[in-house]
Amino acid sequence: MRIDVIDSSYRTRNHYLIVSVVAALRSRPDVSEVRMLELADALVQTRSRPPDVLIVFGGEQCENYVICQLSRAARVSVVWFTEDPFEIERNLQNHGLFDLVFTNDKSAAARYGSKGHHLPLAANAGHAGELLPFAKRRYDISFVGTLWPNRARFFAESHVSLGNIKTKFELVGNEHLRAALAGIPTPYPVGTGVDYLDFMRINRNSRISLMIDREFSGSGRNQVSDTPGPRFFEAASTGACVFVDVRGSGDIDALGFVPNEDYFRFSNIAEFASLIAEFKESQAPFEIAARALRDKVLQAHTYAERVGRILDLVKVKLESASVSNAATSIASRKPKILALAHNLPKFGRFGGGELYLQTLIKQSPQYDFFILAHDDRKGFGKRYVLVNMNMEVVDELVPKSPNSDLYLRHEEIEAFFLRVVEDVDPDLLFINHLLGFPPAILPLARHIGLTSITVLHDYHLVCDAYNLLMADQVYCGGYGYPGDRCDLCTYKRRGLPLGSQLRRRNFYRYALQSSDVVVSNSRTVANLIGRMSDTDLSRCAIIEPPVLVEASPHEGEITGLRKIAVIGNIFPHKGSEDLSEIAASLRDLAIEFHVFGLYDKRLGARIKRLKLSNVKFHGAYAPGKMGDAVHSCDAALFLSRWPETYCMSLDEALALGLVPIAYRLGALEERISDEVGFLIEIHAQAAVQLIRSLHENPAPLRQRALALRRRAPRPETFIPKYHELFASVLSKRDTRSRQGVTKARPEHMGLEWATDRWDAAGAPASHIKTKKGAISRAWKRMRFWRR
Amino acid sequence: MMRFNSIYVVGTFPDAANTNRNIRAFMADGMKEAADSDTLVFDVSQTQFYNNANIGSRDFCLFVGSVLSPNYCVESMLARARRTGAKTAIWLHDDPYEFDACTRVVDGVDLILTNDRSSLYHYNERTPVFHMPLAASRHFTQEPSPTRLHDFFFAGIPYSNRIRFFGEFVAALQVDESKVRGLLLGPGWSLKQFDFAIDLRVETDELMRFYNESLVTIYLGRDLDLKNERYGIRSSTPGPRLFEAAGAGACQIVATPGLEVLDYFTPDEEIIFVDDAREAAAALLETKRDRDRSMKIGMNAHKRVMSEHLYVHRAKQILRLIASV
Repeated sequence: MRIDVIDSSYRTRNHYLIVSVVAALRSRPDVSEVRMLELADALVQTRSRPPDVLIVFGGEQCENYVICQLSRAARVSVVWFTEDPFEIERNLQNHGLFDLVFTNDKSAAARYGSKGHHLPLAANAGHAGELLPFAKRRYDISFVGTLWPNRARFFAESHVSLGNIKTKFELVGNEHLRAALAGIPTPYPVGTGVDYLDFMRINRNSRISLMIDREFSGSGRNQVSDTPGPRFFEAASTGACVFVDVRGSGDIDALGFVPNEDYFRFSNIAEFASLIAEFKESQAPFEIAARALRDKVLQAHTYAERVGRILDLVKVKLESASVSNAATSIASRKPKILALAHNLPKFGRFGGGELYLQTLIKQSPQYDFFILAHDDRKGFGKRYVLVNMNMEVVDELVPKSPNSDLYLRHEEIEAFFLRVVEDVDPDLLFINHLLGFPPAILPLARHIGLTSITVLHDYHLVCDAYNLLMADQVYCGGYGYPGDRCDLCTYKRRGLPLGSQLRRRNFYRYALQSSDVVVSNSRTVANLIGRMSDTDLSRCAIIEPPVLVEASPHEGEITGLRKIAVIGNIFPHKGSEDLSEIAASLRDLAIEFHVFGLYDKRLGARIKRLKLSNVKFHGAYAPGKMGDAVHSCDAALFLSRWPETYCMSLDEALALGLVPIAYRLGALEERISDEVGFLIEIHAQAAVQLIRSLHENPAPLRQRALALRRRAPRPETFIPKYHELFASVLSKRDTRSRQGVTKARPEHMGLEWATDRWDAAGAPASHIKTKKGAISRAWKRMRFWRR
Repeated sequence: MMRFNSIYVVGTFPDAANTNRNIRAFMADGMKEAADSDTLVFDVSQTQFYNNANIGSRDFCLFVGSVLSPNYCVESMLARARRTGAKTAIWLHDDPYEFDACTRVVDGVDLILTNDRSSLYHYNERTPVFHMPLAASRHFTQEPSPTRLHDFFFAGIPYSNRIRFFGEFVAALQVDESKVRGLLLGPGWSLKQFDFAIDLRVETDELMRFYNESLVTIYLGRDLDLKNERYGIRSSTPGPRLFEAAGAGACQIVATPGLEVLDYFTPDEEIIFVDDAREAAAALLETKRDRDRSMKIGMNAHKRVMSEHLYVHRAKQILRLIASV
């Protein structure tokens, strides 16, 4: 029998109880495996191997999405409510999720109908420790707990009757009780209390342990449980003699304990004072009772015994349970893929990333695609749309507080994402680009058990300057940690405080690691991003982008180097400044540079100013359709100053049979071999020197052109590889419906260590105030480099 | 015991921001004593780790420190060390006050060591976790000095529980109308509140001198949580000052709410354990009357530290644990 155990509360003071339950389960021979799950990633942990039995402990907040999903997947699901009767109404609403219900409160059990069973909390026999004789104990009487008003009154009134006996009262203050405690004198210091293990130590060292239950409710409805809480069993297990204020401590006798033999009861100060007087007179009867109580508790009230009772009923249920409760309703339908995109072709400006996704969708009719896209036409983070396969907008979000590239979390966008997941019910999340979205989307996807694939189109996941160019437009070298250099660079580029870039990288690293599969266009880029973020990307999938142009090399013989094509949008990060320097340096030779694609206006102006007649501009073109002029070129020049992640323009050049000359950097370095092209150092004069030498002696150029023509065209692996990847990932997907996913609690993701934005500590995203225009200025700068 | 070529004791964040960096240095010294004679032990800052450490698969990286700040890249350091095939462990020395931040590292190492026993049960189970209290450095140990200049001494930051304690302590002393020379040392203490307080941080050797030359040294816990909301864990294990002061021959009056301290020192022989400020005041007055008691307890505590609570003892234990995971 394999069992998963999970605490339904993310924040709890009673975590030690579940540890005891797990230990008890592990000690049983009929249990083969026990996993203690965490809400943050329980769905991922159980995705491939749902358990036979799920035990949900506590029950508080068990309506959350993770618990709902887990209970559906287990063959038998069990809840042990530990806060009845205080939480009975809420528990009644949720108990339908489970096959068996156990409750700490006897009268509550009946309210759960045939599923309900009474199961008091207990003691962990392993923590009971050695029994100390009374004579060796440090304290006469001890109490550990919050100073509720009824307790405060008790201590104020009983103070005198205690006299000079040695006390250990660890009273815990609670700021919400200040008003309720006004006017009640406190004869003992109030502190922050002690932990469970110290509670046990104190009791082991006390002759008497005092039990006074709480009679206070924030809601004003004072209730008491009819069953003693865990502290009774815990204190008793240590060998302390337990004095119980029976006004609120449940029916102890119903559990087989005998007053005055096992424990002592009082219902007012006079009775308590009388017990203390008897104790002062002779401790022997109290020591005998303490031993009897300890024996009884260790025999019949341990977690081992409680777990046995749970498993007896579970076994009966298991016999009639199906192999798996997991809903398979969506297993037979067409798989749905939700893609995240930073832009859509229909929004106007677009580049390789958008074409990539478009091609994938067009050629994957076996999947239903939905795109959740960032629409930046009115500014960064101001609108998000959900579009279907036909590119029709089916849902949208205009956040009250726009997103910023400085934010790591954004409550509204995260909530919108969950809404979209519930509506679309996707089988897979495909992150084409994360720009525009808070990176917390990735751990959130992991939290809700949604399998994700992330594509590395650029370096956005390791730096906000996602082409890794510094303020002076020089490639930074892709430094890993320590990030002092990165922080200085960020300060110079954006004026952000030191430490910002490291904080960003830490969070994005976490986000990247939350993704199930990472896809890179080239190994070089995967290695670089892996190095920069210290993430193991050695097993990431390498999928080359789609082939957008068919091979049509010109057949004429190359007699010399006379015309050089410069393909792609030529902006500073693509070497526009270098191009003007090269053209100026080579104006004495009969060589022309033909620029195909958009280009930086400043490049045009410079060419004009320098009166360089050897540069010809041909303007924008559709992929592979550059007109006849390109066929008369002999080589293609690639002057990217950033480490390209693939460079589709190189595909075009190779298809046309143009010998590439490129800076030794990024994917170009990986893709261009010595046989078919030339790699040079990242400097305009290196290009000048090579071109001049090839002009004088074109033999190496001719040799490479022939090799290029002999080379088979690049096979189209994009779609087959993706379909293979999708099939493999989807075969392991979680087939449970995602209904109710909006009840997921992003605060359960386990991101306590992180801040909401990467340029300043602490402030929640919704409360960020920035200098007027700072974000739009930053965004403008980014947009420029994005072209 | 496993043999390592090199052992790196590494800081989890830059030394410039680390006021506790001496703990790492002490640990490195302890490790040098505990490791095989042919094993090289390096005390490595974060910067040195990235720029100079040449870690291999037969090495062991022990990270020591806090993981609270999101600005520092501890996960990345752990990943880098692990990728080399080296064994890795992290000794978190700010539990439970920063416990919520530990989720950053729980899956990234071979072994987690926590300074706090009550925090032990709250870690997830994917990585082995063991309790490892902090300790004293051999370099700063000495037998108690017969010169006891101060009647009582306390060093530390004025957390609210400490301010409250000294308020009650002083009140209890005044009841007895005793003339007591005390010294309260630490950044942030207000002279207005306590006329024996000095707002000052002192170097370790100076601090040890105060421990060594005081009739009693008071040990108090801390109640300032920085990231401890999830489980609200209460600290149970005493901090390094307890071991450092004992090593320096201090006679300590220990006033902690929990009793775990008694696992490390025997009451009335190696420490004076009290339950509140009034008892502490009474214990001080009694020690003032019987000054030999201070010497005797200080000497016993010193001996206990030398035999059980030096960093070398922790280092030996860590080497045994890392060999077993």
